[in-house]
Amino acid sequence: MIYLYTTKQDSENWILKNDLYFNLYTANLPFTDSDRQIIALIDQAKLTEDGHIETKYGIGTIRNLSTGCKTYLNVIKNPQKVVSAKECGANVLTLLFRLDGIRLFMDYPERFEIHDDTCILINGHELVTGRRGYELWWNKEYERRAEDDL
Amino acid sequence: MIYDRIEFQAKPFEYKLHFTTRITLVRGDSATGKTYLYQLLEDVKQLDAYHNIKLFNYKSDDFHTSLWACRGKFIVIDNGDAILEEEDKKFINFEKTNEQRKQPGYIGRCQSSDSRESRYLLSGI
Repeated sequence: MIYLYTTKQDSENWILKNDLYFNLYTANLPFTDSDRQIIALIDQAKLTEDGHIETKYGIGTIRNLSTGCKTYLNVIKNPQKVVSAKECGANVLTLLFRLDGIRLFMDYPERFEIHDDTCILINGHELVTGRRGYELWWNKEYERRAEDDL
Repeated sequence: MIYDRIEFQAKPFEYKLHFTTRITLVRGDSATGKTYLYQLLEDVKQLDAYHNIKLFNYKSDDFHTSLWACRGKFIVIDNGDAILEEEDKKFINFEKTNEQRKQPGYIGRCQSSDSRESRYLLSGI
């Protein structure tokens, strides 16, 4: 199940600035082989034992990871928090929506792959399934916003 | 003077940015270089030729106040999804001195060197 929230809340349990949160908190956590694989997949970067990253363009620090990659790591390493996915590209959104039990914030729809059997609970009470369910929900949401002149 | 072109070299690449509209959105998959471009422009803006570049990201102090004070700047915003509020988006889209430049068929196209007009490069929106 993906828990998706579409209205922003300023709460300690929400991560809205992914770069900042990653640099200050998530980056200090230990990284697993699975994390390293994700870094390689998204950023084509190798995370070394001493916390550097190596890419074909040179060596950097973990702070140089892309915002999308940092967001993915924020999500999987802080499963109790709602994480904004607004800065993610379609490549990372596709990966995120293959996970289970994660909590995301997005206040507009994006085009990316969602499997037909992916269950998404929107705002805690509306259950939709797959890409089609996601699109239908957002269509209705935009009709609602238009009616409310939002 | 607002820039229609920003051109520079930063090895291993050469960058030729050409702008045809007042607002340019930079989109793409994660890890394709949007923030890297922003970081390159942090250096480019130090050149006399590009001193009108004004950069904002999540680290910027007084972002909203500073944005609203901009006139005649080439404004570059990274982390836009995280830092732009609705009022900022309205300011960017509808701020009067900019809106006057809109031409039929060329919405937002810069037709003037009016120094009050600003241009926007919004990364990751």
